[in-house]
Formats: sequence, C-alpha cells, structure tokens
Amino acid sequence: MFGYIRIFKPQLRICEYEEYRAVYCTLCRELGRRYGPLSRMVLNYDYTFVTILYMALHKQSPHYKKGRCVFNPLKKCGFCTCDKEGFALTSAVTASTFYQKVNDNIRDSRFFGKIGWGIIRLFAAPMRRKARKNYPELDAAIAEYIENQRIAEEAPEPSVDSVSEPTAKMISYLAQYLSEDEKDKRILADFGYYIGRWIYIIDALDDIEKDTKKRNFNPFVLRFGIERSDIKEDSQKLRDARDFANECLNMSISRAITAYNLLELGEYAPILDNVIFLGIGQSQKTALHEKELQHQ
Amino acid sequence: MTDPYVVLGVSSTASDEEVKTAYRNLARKYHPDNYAEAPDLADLASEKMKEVNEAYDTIVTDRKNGGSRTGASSSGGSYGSSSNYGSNNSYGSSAGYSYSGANAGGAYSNTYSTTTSFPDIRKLIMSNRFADAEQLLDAVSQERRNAEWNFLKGTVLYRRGWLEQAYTYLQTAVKLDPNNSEFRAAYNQAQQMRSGKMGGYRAGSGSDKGGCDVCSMCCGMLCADSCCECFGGDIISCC
Repeated sequence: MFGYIRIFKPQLRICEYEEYRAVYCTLCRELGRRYGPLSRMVLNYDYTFVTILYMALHKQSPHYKKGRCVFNPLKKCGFCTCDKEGFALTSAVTASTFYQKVNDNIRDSRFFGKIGWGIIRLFAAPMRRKARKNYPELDAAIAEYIENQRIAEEAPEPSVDSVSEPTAKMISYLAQYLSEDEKDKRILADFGYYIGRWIYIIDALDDIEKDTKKRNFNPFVLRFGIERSDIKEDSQKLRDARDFANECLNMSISRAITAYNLLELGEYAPILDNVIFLGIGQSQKTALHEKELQHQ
Repeated sequence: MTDPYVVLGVSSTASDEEVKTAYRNLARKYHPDNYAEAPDLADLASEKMKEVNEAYDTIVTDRKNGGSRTGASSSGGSYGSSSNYGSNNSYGSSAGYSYSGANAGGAYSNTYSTTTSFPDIRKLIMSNRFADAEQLLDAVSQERRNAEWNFLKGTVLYRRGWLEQAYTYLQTAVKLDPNNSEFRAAYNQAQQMRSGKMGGYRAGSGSDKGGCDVCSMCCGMLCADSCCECFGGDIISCC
C-alpha cells in the first residue's frame, strides 16, 4: 500500500474533511502508542481509507474530542473516541507491510542501499514483532505475498495480470478482516482483489521511469520494451504504455466499484464515495501526467 | 419493512421527480448487467434491486392512493417486474446481452446462439466451475479454437480477475466473428470500462474541466451557421 487511495479534497464538505483528518490523526496516535514513535512516519492515506471503511461496516458513530498533535503542538486535532479495534487492525497491517517492504528493498538494492535499509530495518523489526504477536495470520499473509510477488515477477512471460495477482490476493485477504458479516466478507473479497490490482498497477505506472533507469522489473516497461532513451525524449512508446496502464486501471476500478456499490456504508458513505469515485481518478491523473504536482 | 424512503435515500418530502431520479440511479447501480461477470455477487445485487423496486413501488402506490401528490401516477411502476429485471430495458447497455437478470447466479439464459460448439464448457461456466472450464478450454486443440472458444476463454479469465488477458481474448473473438452480438456485447462492456466511463480517469476527454476544445467550437460554429442559413441569415459567409 503506497498512499494512492486518497480523498479528492475540493469535493469534500468541510465536516467530512474534518472527520477524515480526525481518523488520520487518531491512526497516527494509535500507531505511535502501539508500535513506537517511528512507526508514525510510515502512516499513509490508504490506511485511513481502510480504517474509515472498518468504522462504516461496524456502524461506529463518529465521536471526537480535541487534542494536540505530537509533531506540531500548536495544532489542534480531532481524535476519535470510538472503539479502537479498527485502528489496531490497520496499525498492525502498517507495521507488517513496512517491515516486509524494507526487507524487500534490502534484497533489491546495491551496497549503500543495503546499509541504509539495514539501519531502517533495525527499527522496523520490533514493530513487526509486535504486529506478529497481535495478528499472526495477517503477518503471515503479508510475508507470503512478498514471496509470491517475487515468484510472479521471476516467472517466464510475466503479464500485467499475473504480476498484479499477489497484491490483489493479499488485499482481498486483508479486506475480509474488515467485517464479521458473511455477506460483507464476500463483497470485500471481490472489492479487495480489484483494489489490490489497482494499487499494484498504479504503482507500476508511477515507477515506469524509475524502473527503466534502474533496470528493475516493471510489467509495462517489459510489455512495451521501453528503453532509457524513450524516457529522455518522452517517446510514443512511453505514452502508449501510460495509456495502456490507464486502461488497466479503469478496468480494475470499474470492477472494484461494482462490488463497492453493494456495501452498506451509512453515514461514512460520502467520504468513502469521494475516495472511490473522485480520489482514485485523481490519483490516476496525477500518475499519468502531473508528476510535478505530487511534490507540492 | 424498512422505510422505503430510506432505501431510496431521499427524504419523505421529496418530490416525485426526486424519488424517480433516486430510483433510477439505484436501479442503474444494481443492474444485473453490472454483475453478469461477477457471479459471486450477483445474488446480493439482485437482492438490493428487489429491495429498491419494492421501495419505489410502495412510494408510488402510497402517493397515488393518498392523492397527496398528483402526477405520481404518470411515473408508472418500476422497471420490469421486481423479480426479473430483464436486459432489454432502457438501461441495458447492451441489447441482446445473453445474461438474464432472473438468473441471479449469473447463469446464461438460453438466448445464446443455438449452435454452440462447446456446450459442456458453457455448462461449467454456468455453474461457476471456472477452473474446470478452463481446463477443458486449454485441452481444445489449436484448430478448433474459434471465435466462441476465445469468447469463453475470455469469460473465464475475466471472472478470475485476469482482466487484461480476458480483454485480449474477447478482442480476438470479436475479430473472428464480428456479427455475433453476444461476443460484441461482452467486448463493448469491457471497452467501456477501460475508457473510464464507469470509474477511474478518462484520459484526454477533458471532461473534468467542462471540455470545450477547438473541435467542438468549430463544430458549434458550423451548426449555428447552417441554422442561420435556414432562416436566411449567415454567420460564416464562405460556406
């Protein structure tokens, strides 16, 4: 999960935005409490979405109290006072995925990279240990996913479908933890699969340039045979690859939406709808041609 | 029974027009065509559809009987009977699409071409046994892989979530047999999804800015010109 699932702020009402912020701040604080202050750095918007989805499916009503931000004591934040089970779940997933990601980076990078990531792993390892203690199945599923990802990328003739499947399956598995209801679980399994697929593909789209330069694996670079020279002159090949990736994304999200439409989201529906129907499209737009906007 | 207004998501003071719009949006959302390729969710969607239809029927009848709002009667009943939301109504994006809403399990109705060369594979797909269907498909010899084979292979892959390969097979099916409405419908639906019509981002459409590009301006000018000419005036003198 890499922070692509975000809100489209201009279309959100202020009260909804404040609610969203409050969940974000609560998640940040819960992460800090459970997995140490450094874990707060790894928080991203994807987990906020997941937490709100959890709250919606458990029909938790939003109650907040004012508090202060740890990073910026002058800023006042809202904090949720509801049951923290959802936050515990997403915190554990955050910790486990971060550790696995660091581990993966160590394997992929060269000498100096290995040292850098190795130091980060010293901090990530205790986080992961705690997460594994609290949710052993989740941690196992995430570890398995990293392994499957490697296998899929090393397999002969990797396709967009085959390499996005490990992520899709992992998110599908994790999503089912968001509800106890059997019907919801079925919907979430489907929704998770296509959201996972979408996440993998948009990450690959975003990394086309980087992966070409570093000669890392990327399904689109492979499929369109993109070379370093294509990146420099922004060739037709590169543009075709981007358009193709966008089509893949649209297809995945369309399927995710058919599942999503069946969920009963109550009062959280406006925020979640905003993410699914507007934020997702916006992320695609950014990944496609507004790289510079990301850094603002 | 739950409040029909809650089901439709409108207040009880909403006008007939608002109720109708809310109903239409929900009907489009839960339309069986959307779930034809997601058989594991089709029953949930048809449950929702039924709920929405019932809610709408209740409101329309109530308002007609109560006489509180004249004009409700003109809006008529719900689309199709609540148990069978057929695919030949106005929302069916694809006329003659071979899935019928009545078969909530996502089963094929018998509208598909009578001359199927793979009846056993179709039967497996109908009963959601995709792995078995795929095994049989892969066993079919190279020279027997016709348009229908491609279509079925595409269908199986599509349901497994392998959308890209599925799309390629559907494309081949349509290329091999352009006149088959079943293949074309499935292909068109996939194409619509890819274009970003059902969600995601529509590249190059400019629709998010309320699009008014040079092309549409020229087009508008030409239209205005010919309109004026009909009435004896002229905007663009040279044509």
